[in-house]
Amino acid sequence: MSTTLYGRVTGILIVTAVVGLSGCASTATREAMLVGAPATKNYPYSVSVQTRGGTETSATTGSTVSNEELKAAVESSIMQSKLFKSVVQGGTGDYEITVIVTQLTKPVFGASFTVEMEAGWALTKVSDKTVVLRKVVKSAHTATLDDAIVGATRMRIAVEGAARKNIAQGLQAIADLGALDADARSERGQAPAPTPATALTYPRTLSGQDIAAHFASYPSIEARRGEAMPTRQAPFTLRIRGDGTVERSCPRCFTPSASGSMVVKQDDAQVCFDWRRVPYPASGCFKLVQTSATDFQMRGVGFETVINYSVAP
Amino acid sequence: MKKTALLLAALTTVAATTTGCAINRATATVDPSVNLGSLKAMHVAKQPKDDNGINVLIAEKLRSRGYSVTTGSEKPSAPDAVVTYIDRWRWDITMYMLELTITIRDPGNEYPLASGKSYHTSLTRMSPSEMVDEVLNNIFKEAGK
Repeated sequence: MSTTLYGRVTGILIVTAVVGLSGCASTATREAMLVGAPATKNYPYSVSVQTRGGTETSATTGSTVSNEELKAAVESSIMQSKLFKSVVQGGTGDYEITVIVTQLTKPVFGASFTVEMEAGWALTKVSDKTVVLRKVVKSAHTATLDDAIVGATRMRIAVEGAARKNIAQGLQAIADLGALDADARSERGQAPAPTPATALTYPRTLSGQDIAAHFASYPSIEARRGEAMPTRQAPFTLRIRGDGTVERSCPRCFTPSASGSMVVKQDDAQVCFDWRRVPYPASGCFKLVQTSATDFQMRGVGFETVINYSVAP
Repeated sequence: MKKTALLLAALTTVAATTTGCAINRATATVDPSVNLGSLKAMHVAKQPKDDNGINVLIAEKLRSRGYSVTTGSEKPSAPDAVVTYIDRWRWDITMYMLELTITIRDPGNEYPLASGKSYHTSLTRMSPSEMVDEVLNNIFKEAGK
């Protein structure tokens, strides 16, 4: 009897190890790679998208990013963010975005999967083939056992996260293009945008558009309670998904993992969180205040606890 | 106990059939706005962990295509492009190169002008020289389209 039990337990452990720790084939989907936050610019142009270097997922490749899904995710992200007026097919727009995936580095085994992605982003003006932007975008995303127990799902989440961050950074680079902005102003018959006379002063409260762009650029944030004493700061990682959901990982909290939803109220210049089953960080709406070039504070509009965090410059 | 033995046999079969089979993949991508023919001087950046002289092989193959090529850890002042590579090796009786990725980059911002990759498992293994040849041939074939 005990031999039979031992055999069964061994079998279950083997299956658990294989399923839980290995990363099998699972396709990264366009929905999960979507960047939903509004862009800081709205160019009055049409754009087409082409993607290269992607790989079809198979049993031998593991989870990958296919050209088709990546293209659809970039197109949907542009439409949702309203970065360009419209998305057209076949290179017939005013501009063309080319995304070339050159590296997708994945582990094959482990509890946490960190996937690194490198892609070249190019923006070309179709009428005269002028290359407006060429940029390497590198991104990485770690999926842990908190994200999924099954290895195949965890790997897919890591791949999708890396791709989503890559898309967010690529579109942000395009949104930051002064040349394209000047082009648009010139075509509208407007004078060039004035150069800001003074540098940013802190603290400054971010506008609704700025908040959306900010969180699109920083989908993973290491935050803490606004307390002077380190023991009361309760640091946590805030992960912002493209579909409006958020997750927080707080190793020192009573409930280490939690999820919820996030909405940017553009007109009110607020970001609102609704956490399920956890009191910290507080559910509610916050103003986002930048206190230095790299430091931010989420200040509750009610009695919510202040949250501090820093970002890379 | 019998069930466990069956389970183990099934897992072993899956592992054996998915790791030992012959898989070949060779792909190349070139930025459509790039003309590789306009490049004259390239520098092959040596990977710090490369003990197999892959950088030298790549440099030789590029020289044979008419490019002026330097290689090493130090980048010369003004090449037209920098070539990077990632080689992955596996052991099966002997060590063999499982995958080679070569990327030709803009020296200013590392933008990937062209990239190629070859992947061969043990049964269809190729020598490093053949792998380099295959990747570069695919890149230039793609560029010539």
